[in-house]
Amino acid sequence: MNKASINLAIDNTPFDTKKSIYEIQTESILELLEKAGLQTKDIDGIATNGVERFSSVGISEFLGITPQWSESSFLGGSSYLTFVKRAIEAIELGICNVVVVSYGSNQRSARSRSIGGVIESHTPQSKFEYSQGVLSPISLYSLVAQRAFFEWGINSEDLAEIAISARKYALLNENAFMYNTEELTVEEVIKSEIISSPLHKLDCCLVTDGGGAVLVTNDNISKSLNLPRIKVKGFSQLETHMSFSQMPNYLITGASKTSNDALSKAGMLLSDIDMLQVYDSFTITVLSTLVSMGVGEPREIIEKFKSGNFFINGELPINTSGGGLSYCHPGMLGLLLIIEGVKQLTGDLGDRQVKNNQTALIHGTGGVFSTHSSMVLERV
Amino acid sequence: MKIWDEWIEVAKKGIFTIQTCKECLNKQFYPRNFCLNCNGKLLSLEPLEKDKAKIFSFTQIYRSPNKELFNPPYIIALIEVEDSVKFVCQLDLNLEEVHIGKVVNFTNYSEEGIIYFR
Repeated sequence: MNKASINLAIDNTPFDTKKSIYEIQTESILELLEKAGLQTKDIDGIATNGVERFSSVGISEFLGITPQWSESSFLGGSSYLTFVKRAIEAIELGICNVVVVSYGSNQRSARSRSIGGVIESHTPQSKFEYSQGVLSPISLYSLVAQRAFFEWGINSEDLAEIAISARKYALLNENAFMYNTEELTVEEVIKSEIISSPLHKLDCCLVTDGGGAVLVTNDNISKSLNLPRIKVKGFSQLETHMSFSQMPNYLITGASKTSNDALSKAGMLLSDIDMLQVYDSFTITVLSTLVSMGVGEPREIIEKFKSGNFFINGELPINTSGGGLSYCHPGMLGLLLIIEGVKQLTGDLGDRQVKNNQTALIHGTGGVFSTHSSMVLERV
Repeated sequence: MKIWDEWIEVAKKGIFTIQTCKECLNKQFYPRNFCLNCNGKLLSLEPLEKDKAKIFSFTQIYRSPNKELFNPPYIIALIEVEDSVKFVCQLDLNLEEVHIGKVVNFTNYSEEGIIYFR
């Protein structure tokens, strides 16, 4: 059987430049290939979505390639963790050798994001939930946050600590939308506009353009090109619901099962992990994901955000790019979570480089806590 | 879906129903063409009993998803029916009257398709 690894990752954060999705994607892909010493004609597998109805086909045509392996499942923010895992499996099965996983969105400059969400009128969630006047997805995350306030005894000031941490990281990341701004305060977060109580504007992720690309190759190729090798040591995926009313548990999400399964497959414990990159669509997303993963009790987690335990030199750095809250949120963050993980494990990121950088746990969330993918990465 | 149209017709008459399996008595919301528990196909729409629904969570909305239909502020709730299902609706209440655990009852289903509880 072949062996495969993730080799390189490129983020592309043009933010508001009126570039098309094809430009954003191909810029990232060409930079990635150049760095690896490869060309478009070397690609024999492609994974992407959100481009058009035939996403992988459209991007392949634009690149002038005819791959024999492709993947375009739509799982929202967890899609790209699944794509990377499936790319590794495809290479190990001998289907392909050089896979590019790429994503791009111009949602900010194209003004394509609607606060009401994407309404597909034939679906149960449209018929019974969006029809009630829900802002999707924020109101649904707000319902989780309000319940968390009730069951966990936390409040808006506590959630603000998560936005504050994200901003601190973004100030160290020159590719971040909020680079060159200032640290946030609790007061600024809780005095920002309430959009759907109890969540404020600064509890929400950004709406930006952006994307990136990840290279996954056969180890024979990466060795000959002298590329870094990051192994996916454990992976787990779970779908729990689509309509909000069908969510099995509103505070402990599918992240509980997928993170435990991924760690178990890797033969690791959470204490073996050097950093976490978890989906932060909203501040509450981070808290409920961390509680679900077993990082700590809700109050303990908030206290650790406050005391810097989750910052760059703390016990467990979390969301070191600044995340969707302060770095970049181009509709789906999944690929950018992997990219930051890969960069941290391979790169020299200056002020935001995590010192212990052997392992990372990445967690993608899609829909309203609907899809979950957890991935344990380890540098060879 | 035919069963959704039937559910809406009954709701418009002022009766909020929960689909119940005639074979295993499983309750489910939203209605489907089969039972999630036993896969049976004999199902009926049974009226929600009085005082069995409670607010599980709520959010007050300050921006409109569709200005022709919704004028903020208004409150969306996730309702929990005792030992049974959950669903999303609007509350015909002011924010100061709303708390998690409050018992609420169905008031009406509007022309626009909004389910109101209070």
